Amino acid sequence: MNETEKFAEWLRSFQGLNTTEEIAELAIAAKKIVPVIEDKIERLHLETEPASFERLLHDLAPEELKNE
Amino acid sequence: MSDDICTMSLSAVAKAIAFGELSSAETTEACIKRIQMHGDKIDAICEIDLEAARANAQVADDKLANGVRSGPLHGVPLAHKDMFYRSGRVSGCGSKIRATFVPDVTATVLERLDQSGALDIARLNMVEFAFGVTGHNEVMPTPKNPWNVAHITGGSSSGPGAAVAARMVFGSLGSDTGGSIRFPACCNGLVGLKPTWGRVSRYGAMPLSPSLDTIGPLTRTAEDAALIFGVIAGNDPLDPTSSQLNVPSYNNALSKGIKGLRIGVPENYFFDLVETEIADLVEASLDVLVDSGAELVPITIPASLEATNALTSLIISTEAASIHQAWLQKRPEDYGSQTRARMNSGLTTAATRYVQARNLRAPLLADFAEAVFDKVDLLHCPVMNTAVPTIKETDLLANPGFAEIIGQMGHCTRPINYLGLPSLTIPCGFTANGLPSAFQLVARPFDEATMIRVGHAYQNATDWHTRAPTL
Repeated sequence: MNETEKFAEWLRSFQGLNTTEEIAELAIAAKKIVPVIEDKIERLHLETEPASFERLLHDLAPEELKNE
Repeated sequence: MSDDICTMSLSAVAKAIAFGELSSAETTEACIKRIQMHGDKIDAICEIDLEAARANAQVADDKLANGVRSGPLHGVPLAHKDMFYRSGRVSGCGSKIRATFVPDVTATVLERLDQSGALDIARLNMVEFAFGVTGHNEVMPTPKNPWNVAHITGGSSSGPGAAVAARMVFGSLGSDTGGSIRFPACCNGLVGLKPTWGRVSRYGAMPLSPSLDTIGPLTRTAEDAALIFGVIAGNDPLDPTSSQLNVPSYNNALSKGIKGLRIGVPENYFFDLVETEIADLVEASLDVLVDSGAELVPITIPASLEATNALTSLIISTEAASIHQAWLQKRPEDYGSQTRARMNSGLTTAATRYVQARNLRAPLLADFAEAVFDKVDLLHCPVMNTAVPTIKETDLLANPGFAEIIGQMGHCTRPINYLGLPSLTIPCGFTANGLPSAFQLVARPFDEATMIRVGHAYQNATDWHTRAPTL
């Protein structure tokens, strides 16, 4: 079993995804994102969640837009 | 006379109609004539309902004759990317999959434009499901650049870029998830406003990647963009992700001038991949801004921005795959091969990595804000790295080697989506191949007014926006 076939088997077993060779190859090619995230992972704190981003967007907005 | 009307700016036409110098009917007829003359050459128009367009223009004129002006866009013909739903009308999303889809809701942005009196005269072609930067569409017509039909329009708001540049309509709504308003604006010599994430309601708009999707106008001037943006911006109860922050008067911002504004000039990152002739045009635009009173400040971009292009790609492909999974598995042949590949690549993203990619937005935005907005009001940088390429050389089916260059096209645009920031694209000249180029201004969240102010000052001092392609 080559790497593509192993990955396709894993997808079938764990994701319920009947994948094609094209999908498996794309997924393997996408592995390069892993080190990008790993490199930044210490920036994530226990409290970090998507709402943190939305709150920061609003915090950074011009003050005059925040008045009632 | 007909072409004279079409070359007017949206703001000028809106005023002329309001003051009775032009009727909506004759303005709409001028647009129709231009579409009929040049439509086949440009392929921007997906569908135009002539009868409805003429009838609605007559209604606008009748209302005005009775003293009723609906709003600032009363009687002005617009047309939009075919992804904004209008109840009872097909919204094909540039696809075979949804070619006959008839929504039963109307997008809030269309409702607001309707209420402002604008006419919606046509559906415009687009990249399949808004997922692509060049404008190519394998399953529906690919719009051509009006400056040279051998060249790309940029995508994914390809039809809006081509139609507004070809003077077929006065403005158009597009969407921007990774650069899809800014690329067509840059390639076609237009102003493109990508708003802050959450500033404009996305209710009733086709989703590509909801964490990143934004909606904004493509127009010929910053003043025109301000006019449309003032209508569509603001909270919408139907889209709980839309911000409740106040909407300022974007028109008032136009008259403020830019004396004393601090404009950041990046010392790293944004020019890493930019060709010399693009860098020269972008840098020359700074001289104009300085002459208008702005102060330039060199800015060191934080190293963390390097990660954002890849993180954006992961979020887009994962969210798009989650939306399209059933169709991807059941009807793969109905997708163009490039769209299918981009979406398929998201099917296998690990959930933890996707969540981490989203959660990193807050700390990376904090880095960027500290480095940029603690020092300046706006950042000034390129949109595209290269001159506008041809349709042939960017056709990945025939030229797969171009994939890497296409991947790099988002170098200056995708980080802005990842950080949720607003950006305004402003045309700043032409490259040696005769195609337009542009710079973008990036502002702090929800400060679109300052971008519009600077864009307007630049256009007051230059005439790039008055030049029209010869069809």
